[in-house]
Amino acid sequence: MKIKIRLILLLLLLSVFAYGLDYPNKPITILVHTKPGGAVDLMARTIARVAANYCDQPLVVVNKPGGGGIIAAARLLSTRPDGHTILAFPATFIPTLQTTDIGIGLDDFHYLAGMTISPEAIVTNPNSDINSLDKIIVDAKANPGKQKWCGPGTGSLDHLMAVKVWEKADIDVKWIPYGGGSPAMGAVMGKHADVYVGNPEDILGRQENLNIAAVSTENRLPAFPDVPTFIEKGIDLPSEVMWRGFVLHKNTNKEIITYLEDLFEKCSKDSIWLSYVERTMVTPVFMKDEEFEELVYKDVESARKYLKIAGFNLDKNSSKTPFLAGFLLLISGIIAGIIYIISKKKNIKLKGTVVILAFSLLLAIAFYYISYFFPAPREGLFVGAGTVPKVWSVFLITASIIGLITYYKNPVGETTKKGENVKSVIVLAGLVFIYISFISFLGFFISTALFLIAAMLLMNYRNYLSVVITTVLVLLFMYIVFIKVLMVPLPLGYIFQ
Amino acid sequence: MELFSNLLDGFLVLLGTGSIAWWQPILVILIGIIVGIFVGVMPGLSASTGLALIVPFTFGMEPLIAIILLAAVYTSASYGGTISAIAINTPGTPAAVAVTFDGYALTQKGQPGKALGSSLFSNVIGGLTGSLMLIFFSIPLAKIALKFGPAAFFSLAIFGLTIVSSMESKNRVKAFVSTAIGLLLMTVGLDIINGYPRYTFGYPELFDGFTFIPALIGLFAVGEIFLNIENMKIVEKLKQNFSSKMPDFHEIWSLKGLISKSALIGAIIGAIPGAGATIAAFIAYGEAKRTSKNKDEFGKGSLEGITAPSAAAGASAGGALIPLLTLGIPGSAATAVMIGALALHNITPGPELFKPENSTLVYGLFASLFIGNALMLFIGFAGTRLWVKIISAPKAVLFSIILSIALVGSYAVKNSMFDVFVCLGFGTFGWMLRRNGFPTAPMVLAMILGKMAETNFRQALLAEGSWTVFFTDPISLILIVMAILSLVYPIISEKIKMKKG
Repeated sequence: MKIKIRLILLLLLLSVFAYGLDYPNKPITILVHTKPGGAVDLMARTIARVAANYCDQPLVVVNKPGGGGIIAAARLLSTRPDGHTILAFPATFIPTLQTTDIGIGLDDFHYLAGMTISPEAIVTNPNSDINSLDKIIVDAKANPGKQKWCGPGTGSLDHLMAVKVWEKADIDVKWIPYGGGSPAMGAVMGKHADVYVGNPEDILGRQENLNIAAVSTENRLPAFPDVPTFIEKGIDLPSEVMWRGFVLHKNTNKEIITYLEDLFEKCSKDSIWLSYVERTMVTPVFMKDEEFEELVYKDVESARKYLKIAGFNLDKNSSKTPFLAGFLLLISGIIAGIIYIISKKKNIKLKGTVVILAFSLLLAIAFYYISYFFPAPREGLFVGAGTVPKVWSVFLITASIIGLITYYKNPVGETTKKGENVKSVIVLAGLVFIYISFISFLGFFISTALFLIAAMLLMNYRNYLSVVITTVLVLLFMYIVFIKVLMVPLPLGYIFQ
Repeated sequence: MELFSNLLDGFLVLLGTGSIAWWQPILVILIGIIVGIFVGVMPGLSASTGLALIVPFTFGMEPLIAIILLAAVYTSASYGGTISAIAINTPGTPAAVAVTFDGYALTQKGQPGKALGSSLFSNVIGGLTGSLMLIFFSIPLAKIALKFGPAAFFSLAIFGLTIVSSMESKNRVKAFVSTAIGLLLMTVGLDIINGYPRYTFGYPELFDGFTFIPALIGLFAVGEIFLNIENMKIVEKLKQNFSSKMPDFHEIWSLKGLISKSALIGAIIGAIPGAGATIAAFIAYGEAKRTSKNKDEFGKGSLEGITAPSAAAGASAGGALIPLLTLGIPGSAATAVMIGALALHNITPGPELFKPENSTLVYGLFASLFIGNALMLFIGFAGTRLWVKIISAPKAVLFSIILSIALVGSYAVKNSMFDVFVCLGFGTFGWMLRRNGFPTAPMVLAMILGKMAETNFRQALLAEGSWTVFFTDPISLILIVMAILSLVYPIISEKIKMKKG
């Protein structure tokens, strides 16, 4: 008996290997951490297009934006390590993964292929007084703490580059984070900031309003022969690069990795890929495995050092607020209960307006309270993470109190006409909740069909033929629009995977 | 005069005198308009989705044809957004929120045709105005746009927020409560200046805050359906009759002053990167109400309340092309996708685009905007009957379909189930608010402007290190004065009226 079981197990194991060799047996997903249209997205889409010529299965780009890339990274790590999911991985992931504490580390990935690199650059406004590296340094030394540097975000790759330059050039300036590269460049064009940190290709088409002050390469760039390097000016930053590549789940099978390495190497030599790379002014490379990993880890060391200089606290202590929230919810629940009991005793009929005003008041107090746990403004700044939430909380507290007083004076007030069917609304909202919860289990189409039928019946619609026709037509419409045209990865459900 | 001859050349190229066959531009403009209206109508899909969708199809096209197609999708999405705002009280684009007030009210009176027609017409006039501004005033407007620093953006956001005061004259306190809730909810997420996670309770889904589109769809589409169901009779056999009759010509003609003023507001505000169509539409609505002789009609289906925001939204699309084409700075998500798409065609927006060797491209694009607006008028008129037919379907069927589309739309924004729950949460909350007389539009406005206000407030203080920057920056000072006026004026004028009455 036991031997038989072992034999079956062995067969199963063998079939798993056979399955591995059978790779790829379904479309390969490339996860992208931004919305469609960004530079990383375009790179992934170009690769997907090129790779289709060398691979039996199509490659499909799926955008999973959010959390600066955390959502996409978490998504990759939650899939089976069977090589059917790849994550587009630009260098921005390095600081992001270090500053967020949710259990994803750089050693969770296999570094499949590095595809492009691009040097870092600092950019100034040619029509401003500060329009070269020399002038930047002279001005910064003359007016310490005044010069304004900007770029996308705090703790971003470009922010770290800025911190490196400041340290090596020994200058004291300000960092003003913007929501992205474009608004930051706009700020330099409009002279609201002095220096923008980014990549050389950023100034293409904007040369009238932007010029590169220095690049972080060994030699001058052929495309910009007049632009000095940092080393020429005595600042030791010869090889700072922003790279973009692709990673896999670290437990991926060796043979799958070899297959994919081969695929990406072919892509890196394809003419469509090379012409795309040329147009976006980055340098095409092909690095795999250890070579790519080395590049990644080289950045990790320096990122840690400079994130600390930039004021990041890398030793995390984030468990405080969830506890706090639970505590506050409990308190507000108790307060609501007391109000309810008093209203019962004194026979006051609670109107919805009062409930909402009381809720807003509690919400505002909770937000105000939690904001005390936010980091205090850094030295020299009088506004921190908690300031604006405090201002809005006070606004809401004032408005709710005025509302409550107005209501107290004139309890009838103005309310919209209310219907009788509050129960139907609650049932429908419950139905929607169940529907959403079941999507990931039953899959989108079955749940939607069930939901549509239930919702129409709930609303007392009894034309059964029309119910069926509507359901079929809506599902067909969604299939065509969302799956076929927009390629939205609607969940198909665990039971069908 | 060189401008006119260039423009004429642009038209001639589109009409087939050059290397391009005459039917190609017309065809891609038609396709672009239909795609644009479609993504505009569908809650959750936006102009940027439409553009990202169409980019791969442009790879094999000539650059001029590609840029025309993208521009057509981009400019027509704004009209698409107002359609669903008017028909089902669900703004398809954020800018259309301001059209819901009177547009949906007119639909409830049984005249969706009139509402759709006046919105279409003012959108087209707005679009033409925006194109004219783009052609004739792009250089000075781009210069003004660059003058907007953090202080000015902050004051603009505050000015936008004060419109709540004139928008909701009956429930002003409730409107302010709704505004403050929106502002507070927008502080959830990573702090832009130092990256600290605020109110996220460890959920990475909340790092970017509540996703705006699912929240908007929830507050409007889902909330509206819940409200309707609450008021629905147990057995509703009665069907409401909707008329697809268009507005009379003289009805629109009598609003020519308002429409052109709103279009100008839209084009100018649209040209400021980061401000965009939504603020323009709200400011135009507030301004229309302030100067109107029939203030009481607002919110009850006033044509002024429909045309003003529609014209502003239509014009701001053309306005937003100004910083994109002249400076290479995209002012919105959609224009950011456009810049990426243009790069793939070796077109780098910026001053170089206006050099003589590129004149066919630029003036061909300009000419296409005029043709596009003319075509949109026809497509829009033809479509009106379809929309009216759709909303005449039995309520149970219509609501079920809208609900499922709203939920899929919420998912499609970021491919995230979390956002679908956000949509339901905001929907339930919006229903509770509205059944108690709290308007939800101020909350949406606050959610749009809250982040802009905080980011720029802190950037300004960081850069200048002093509070006085909001008063020493001339643009900021003007906007602050306007904000105070817009906050106080409606309250004072009512008090005076009450005394007289």
